[in-house]
Amino acid sequence: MIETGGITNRRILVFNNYVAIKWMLYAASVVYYLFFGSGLFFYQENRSLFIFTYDYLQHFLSKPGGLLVYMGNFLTQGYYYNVIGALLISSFPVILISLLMKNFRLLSKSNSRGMHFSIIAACGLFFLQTFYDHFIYHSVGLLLGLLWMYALMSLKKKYQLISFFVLFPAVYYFAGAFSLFYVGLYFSFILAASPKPQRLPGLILLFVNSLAVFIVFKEFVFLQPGDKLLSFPLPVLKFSVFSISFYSFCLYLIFVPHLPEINSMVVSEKRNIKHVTSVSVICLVTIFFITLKFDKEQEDIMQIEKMGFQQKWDAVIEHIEKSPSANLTGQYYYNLALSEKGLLCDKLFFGSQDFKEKSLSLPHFSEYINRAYYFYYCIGLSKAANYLAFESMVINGYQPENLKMLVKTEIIRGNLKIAERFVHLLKQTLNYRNWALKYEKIIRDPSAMYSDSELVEKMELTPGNDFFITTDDNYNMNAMLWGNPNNPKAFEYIIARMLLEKDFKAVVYQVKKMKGMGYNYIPRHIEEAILLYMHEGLELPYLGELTVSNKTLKDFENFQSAFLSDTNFILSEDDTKNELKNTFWYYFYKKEIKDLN
Amino acid sequence: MLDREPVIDPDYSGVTVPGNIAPMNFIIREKGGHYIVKALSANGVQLSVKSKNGVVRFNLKLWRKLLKNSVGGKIKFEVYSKNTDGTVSQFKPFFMNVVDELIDPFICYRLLYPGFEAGGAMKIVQRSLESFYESSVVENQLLEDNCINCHSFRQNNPEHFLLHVRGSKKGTYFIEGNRVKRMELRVGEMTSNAVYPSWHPFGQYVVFSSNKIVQAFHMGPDKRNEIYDLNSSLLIYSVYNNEITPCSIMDTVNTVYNETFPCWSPDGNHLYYCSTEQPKEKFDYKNIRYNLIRKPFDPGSGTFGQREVVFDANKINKSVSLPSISPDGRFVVFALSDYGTSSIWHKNADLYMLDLSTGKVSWLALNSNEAESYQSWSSNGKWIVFSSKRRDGLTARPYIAYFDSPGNMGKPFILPQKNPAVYDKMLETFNIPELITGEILVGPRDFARASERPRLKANWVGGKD
Repeated sequence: MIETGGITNRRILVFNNYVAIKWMLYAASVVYYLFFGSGLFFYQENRSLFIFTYDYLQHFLSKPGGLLVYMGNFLTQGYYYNVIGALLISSFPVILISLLMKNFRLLSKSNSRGMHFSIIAACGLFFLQTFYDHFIYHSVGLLLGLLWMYALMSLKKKYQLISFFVLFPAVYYFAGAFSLFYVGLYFSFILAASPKPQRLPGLILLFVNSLAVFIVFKEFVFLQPGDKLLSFPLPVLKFSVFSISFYSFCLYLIFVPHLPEINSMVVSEKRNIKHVTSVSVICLVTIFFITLKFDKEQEDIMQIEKMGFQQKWDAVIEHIEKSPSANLTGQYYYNLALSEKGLLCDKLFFGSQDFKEKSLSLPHFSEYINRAYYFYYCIGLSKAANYLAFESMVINGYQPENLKMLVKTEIIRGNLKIAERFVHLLKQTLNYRNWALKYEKIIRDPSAMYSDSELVEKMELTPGNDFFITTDDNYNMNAMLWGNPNNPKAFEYIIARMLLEKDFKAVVYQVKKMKGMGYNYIPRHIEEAILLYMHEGLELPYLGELTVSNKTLKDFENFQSAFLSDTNFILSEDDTKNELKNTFWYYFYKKEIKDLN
Repeated sequence: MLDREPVIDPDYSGVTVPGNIAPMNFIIREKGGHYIVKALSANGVQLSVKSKNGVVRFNLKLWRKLLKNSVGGKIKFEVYSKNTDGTVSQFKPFFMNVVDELIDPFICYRLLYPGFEAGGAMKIVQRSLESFYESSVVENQLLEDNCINCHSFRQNNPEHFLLHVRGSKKGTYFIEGNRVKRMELRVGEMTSNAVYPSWHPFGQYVVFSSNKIVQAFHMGPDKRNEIYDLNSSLLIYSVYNNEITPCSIMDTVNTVYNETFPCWSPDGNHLYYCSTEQPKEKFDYKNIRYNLIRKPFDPGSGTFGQREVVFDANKINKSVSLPSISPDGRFVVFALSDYGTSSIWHKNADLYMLDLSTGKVSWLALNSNEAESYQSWSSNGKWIVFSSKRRDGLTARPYIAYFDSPGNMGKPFILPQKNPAVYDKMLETFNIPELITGEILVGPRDFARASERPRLKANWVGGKD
């Protein structure tokens, strides 16, 4: 009796330790997302706009798995706020533990051993969820499988199989290709719970039933290709860390009902206490792996993009200047922020420009299409911004940013009826309703447009002429200036391109236009180009009554003495000299200096 | 009673409808908390609908009864709205004319985003005009998301048509009854795909234009897309012999023409099409203007005679596109715009009608301030369906107009929908609306299966000039 009581107490102790670990895991996850991984919320929330309309629902009703994604998109709205996002995403591993434990109890597996393997599963889910490609509906799909198994196993044995068969079409419709995972789960549960003679017929029936449902769905019910019926909405099956991790995790869940049994053959109950330690180690290993795979650059891009979407241009500039981005997108947003603040030719080289002119405007590939339109919007080429936003909507579906861009550009172009259609969609969302209401007012009363400084600015930048928009942005900007010479943003982008191409001579010949465009000083990098031009011994053309400032003249003297005479300067950490690195001169000579080092 | 008609959407006041049209549901755009609509035939048949939100939907069975009793006359619509203060407003009634010439029971169109480069999801759909039944004929999600286009029927026949699929499942798919045949028509010296088709009325030939198409995007506020041909020529495909032949390359010495939008006369003795001199290396797209041309054709030998200008649009600085000939062969309806071929993207594009017996060209009263374009005739020649962007300037919608003579046409009405608000929500555009005499027997899975079969290659048989 004493010994039995001892084991029971030990079990309670062990169990309590596991519970503590479970909540520590939850806390660790919340902390991770709040302080390190919130970029995932921004990324996913911006790619899954949930609209409270029947039409939106209808879109998901037409294919198996659509409802699961619909549900996922509904939950993803919570990602709009980091706190809600962190609490939400962290709850999935905890729910996973609870569901596994319930299943283990039904399968009469040991509580503590069950807990042991449940926590390992939760660690796995915690790890998986840190991938940007792992959406909420993936987690929900996995959890629903376990919930369904629990519901089935709670039934009397004779009803279990029949219930699975009867409900399988509905489950397939709801969860799509996750049903394959459910078949695997049920297969495993049959092996774990059924007496040996019933196993084989059960398995055959399981296979035949699944195949029959698939054929009926493909041939008679849904207009979906077979490969989509077998894959949607699972992650794309490819050789990547995420894909391998996800499918390995599915396999783990499928076999998890057997693990306590296998474990008990090799480990005695008395050694359970050691399991607590091993589980703690696994949790720490999980955190280690998450730290290892943590992509600071990606996280940084999300932060920059978020600030860009919120039009916090000063914050973007400050962020990049504090921690320079080596990424094309990061540098693109930096240039965009400078242009929006009218500082492109003043501060272009305060940030890294590793991609030369490519970071001024992004290519129109699907990878960049969601970002490429901001450049066109910024310089007043609203037609191109509109076209790319529409392409983005066709390719990627409704997203907050492509719809917002469509609203603004249609208003600018005077197409209020079309703008209203997009406003109507945003109005029926949780997080963008207020934004939509603001623009709805403008649509109802177009004169209100003139009190919106952003729209007025973009309208003023719009060229009056018609031309074909091409993929050559230099051509586009020159054509814009032909129609509206008073467009400083397009002008400075043209100059920036020249500077990045190191064509300082061409820059100097543009200066004479500036006075007429309203400039009363020459932006710093253009001054630097002028001084380089003079340094080459070339005759200076007419500068249109604008002159180079004394500060820049002095800086050039310093630069000459520091850089052009000291080839080892690049290794120096001298602050004064570092300031001179933010110049066109340094960019111009950088390669030569690097080569010398 | 108020001295004005209620504002309703779509605007069905004064339209002329066939005796077999689906319920003309609409939305009352008037302030009020409760609405009652009474639809009355001249002989006293009455249909009442109550609505809280202004959406008026008629019961199909009762609507048919009302129509039946209104043929040759009018349906009167009385609209009452109960205001928030409890008072009731009665609006001046509006009317719909009902004629006994029936419209073909189905309409077929392509649904796609009014797009630019990415096609996205697209499908060709058939819709009953007598009810709201709708089904997909082909969907590109079963064809690896490839572009599907240019569905063309032989004289409104749902059992005899073709369409093109581009990309990995490419081919021209010919449909006869419930059989789908996948063909490869780009053969021999063809440098571009077979594009715009027209079936010879006897069914043994199809003429295609083969176009090298360029798409560009305007910066200007009034225009979105510009689609034009660098070169295009006509080819005739013999269905029975599986042979494809150029119709002609040069019609006069030293002049190469762009030829497009073929259309057979209903007797099969003439081919109408649009033609312009092929642009030189440097050209201004705004100076490309197409005339309406025709050529005599001998169906026995399959040969053409000399070209003849039917309507010299260039002379008046206009350009013809998309001709369509009435089943009696007397009238040609076409789109006329300032230049080029992409009339649906030209705000100024309007529909005109040429009376071949008098040579008189008339502007049609069915036009609006926005683009009117692709049009086709019903099999009895009494109805014209056309695309119009009049609702928002971006998305084309199918409109139907009664035709008696160029001077006597009914006010057009938009294709009625079960949910009349659908046009404000839909982002897709309706493309190539065609009236057909019955239901198409094949469906998306038939096309998917056909796309798995190898393409049957047409034989190239040189020129016939």
